Amino acid sequence: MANLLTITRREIGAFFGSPIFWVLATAFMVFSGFVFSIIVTRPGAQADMLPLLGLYGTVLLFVAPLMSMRLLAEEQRSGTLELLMTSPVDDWQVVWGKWLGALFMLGVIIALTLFHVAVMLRLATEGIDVGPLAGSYLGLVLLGAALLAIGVLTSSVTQNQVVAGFLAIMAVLILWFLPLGEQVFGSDSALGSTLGYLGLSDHYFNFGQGLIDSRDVVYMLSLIAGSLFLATRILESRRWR
Amino acid sequence: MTNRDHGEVMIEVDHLTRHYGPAPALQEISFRAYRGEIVGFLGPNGAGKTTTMRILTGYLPPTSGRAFVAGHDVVTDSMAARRSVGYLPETTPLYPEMTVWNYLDFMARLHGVRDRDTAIERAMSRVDLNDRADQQIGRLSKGLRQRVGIAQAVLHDPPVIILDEPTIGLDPRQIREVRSLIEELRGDHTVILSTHILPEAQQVCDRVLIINRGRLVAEDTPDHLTSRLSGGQRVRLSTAPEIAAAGVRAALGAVTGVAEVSDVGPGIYHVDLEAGLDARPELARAVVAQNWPLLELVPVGMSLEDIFLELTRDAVDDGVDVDSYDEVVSLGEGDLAADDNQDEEVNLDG
Repeated sequence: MANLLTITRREIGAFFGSPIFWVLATAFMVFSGFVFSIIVTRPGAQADMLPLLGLYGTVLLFVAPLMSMRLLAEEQRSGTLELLMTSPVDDWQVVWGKWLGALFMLGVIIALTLFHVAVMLRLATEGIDVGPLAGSYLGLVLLGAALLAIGVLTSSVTQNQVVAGFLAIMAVLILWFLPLGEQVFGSDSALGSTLGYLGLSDHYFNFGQGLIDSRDVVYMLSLIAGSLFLATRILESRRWR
Repeated sequence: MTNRDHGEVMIEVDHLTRHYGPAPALQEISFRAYRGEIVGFLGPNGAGKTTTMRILTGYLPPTSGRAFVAGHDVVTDSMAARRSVGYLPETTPLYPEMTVWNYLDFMARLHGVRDRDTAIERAMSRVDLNDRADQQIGRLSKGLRQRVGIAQAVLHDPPVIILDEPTIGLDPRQIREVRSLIEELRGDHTVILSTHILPEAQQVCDRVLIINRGRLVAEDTPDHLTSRLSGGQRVRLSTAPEIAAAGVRAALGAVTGVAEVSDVGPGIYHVDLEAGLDARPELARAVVAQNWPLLELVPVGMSLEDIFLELTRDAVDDGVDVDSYDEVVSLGEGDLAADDNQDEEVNLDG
């Protein structure tokens, strides 16, 4: 466990030292601030954060893969992976440690949007319903965690960051739009309902309903565990090839 | 048999074979390294040096055979084996955005070093980096980066240090610095280094293993290798340059005990003598009998470079069974073979 946190610590340091984090954080804040200002200043605006959080989720579809594409690809290219894999550290600790570091940084970005919540609380004359808001934030964090895990997975298969990032965005978009299949095949067909369940977007938007369904939580957690498990196996397979 | 009373066996490699796909990269390699020894892996690129090191450090598993580091099986007891090794891969693995101190601190944590500050300071002073603690690794020169890599390998004071091509890509002064660093490790640690620079092996190593095409083709001290492999003696003979080389070669070749004569310059000849026969008096008489001036007649050793080229060329040129060198070269064959009390010898923890 200590080793895992050592990897995490180093990763967080690397993020603070790398331009990509600052560029992504800035872009995210500029975009969300812009949308936020439009929503709160339009006539008849309601004190409702939920549409905003839905939007933040879709931005994460691109931010998270760009944050995670470097994680294992760069270590493979620079040869530092050989250093980690010959240190007395388990492979899974490398994978989970790196993912945790990226999650911490994504958490920092998400936490910055709490500023918007503070403004909203000030503006709202009738108060804000805290339940759905908390649920939405939980959903946002779980979504980010799952997207980063997919990014770690694609980053394990290649030395090339750009390829890793591209693969991650493709995979994420396919997962996100899978529920469209439900509309195509009909929700009463087996294929349609399966696609609906496997789709990322429906599970994410459920969190905004103010009702936390264990199925949605389980879905996100399985996505995380499954992706990181596969990434670990792929790293291990480098030893056996 | 050479006398190998070096004591503790720190590395034991037993019939190690590794395939990449169907292609064998390493075939049935066996050797030992003892405490305090500096052992050089010598061989052309692609000979299997890096593969052997990667197996010893737990990065690659062997296809068959076993390897022990400080008594720990690198496959079944990988974590303990990894803890006993400091490793510098060929591509010095550094994080350019980190400072020297932070990088070493990270590595010390991964190796579970207790008193990290002391360990880092000791490692940095060993490689003479004390004033660079807060510098970013990406801004260091290649020579300094190599020193950071070595500091990383000695950080946790491991009994075994494995350095893959530690002087590659450095300028001559940096090469000398790194070599003297390695020599300072002698005694406390068992060091394995790979190189294809022959003088380096000759200068730094107590023992040299020559690897070619995945096989161990020779193993001995640089001095013994030089004398043993040349079989007999080589003599340099100089006479007047204007005398026809063919005539000299014929005259010298007729002398009993001469194996081969080759001209290496105007009036200068290398005469290889058959083992056990000192034909120098006859050579001198042969020259004088022809009324040629005898300017020089001195024994010369075959350099490690000659031996290396000879060993690796033969194997490449005509597929000579390199095992035939074992008789001549590998003096320790008996104690390398898997004998019954091997396990006892290997187990250092007991």
